[in-house]
Amino acid sequence: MKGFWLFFPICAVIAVVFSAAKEDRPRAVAIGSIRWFLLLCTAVMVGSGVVYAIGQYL
Amino acid sequence: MKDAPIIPRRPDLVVALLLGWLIPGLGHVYVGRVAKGFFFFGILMTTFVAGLWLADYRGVRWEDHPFYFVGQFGSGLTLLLMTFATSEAPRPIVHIEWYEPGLLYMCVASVLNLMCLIHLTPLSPDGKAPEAGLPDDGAATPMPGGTAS
Repeated sequence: MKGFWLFFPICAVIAVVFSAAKEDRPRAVAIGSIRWFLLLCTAVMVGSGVVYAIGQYL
Repeated sequence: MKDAPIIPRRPDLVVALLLGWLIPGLGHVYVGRVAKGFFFFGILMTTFVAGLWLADYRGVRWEDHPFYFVGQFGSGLTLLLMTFATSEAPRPIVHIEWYEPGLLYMCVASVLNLMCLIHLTPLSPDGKAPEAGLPDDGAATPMPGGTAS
């Protein structure tokens, strides 16, 4: 799908803002951002895969 | 005669929320978390402007995308930009396939601002009711959700 890669920058933004809202130290913000980013990217890929699979059967 | 004790001025939560809604990050600046406020302003406005560019500076109507239309109300500044910096008139379309991702970027920037506002309140997961605020000299004191910047 064209433009799918645009989900990943927005995942990075969400991850950084989530982490910065919760943590105060820059190191903790960075580590939290990476964890949130990996979680969100996994969710986006799994979610889009599920939606695609459902679409194949409808 | 003994001087009366100086009572620190507590930042008004409603004012902080209103300022934070008007301009992303300004609520954090108001309660003394200046660095975090500027950080939120920078990242949210960058995301919003990127969304504007991706959407080719075209607005969104309720009839087309109700979810994205409501999403623009997450911040006063984004609402202002969406109202006045976009146009419904036909414009030269560079990347039509990027219109919806652009709307998503703008919507996410607005909704993330609401999340930042929630973090100012006792509703945040790690938040507490503000016990103390800014003293009169403007020095930062701890607020819900962490230490002051």
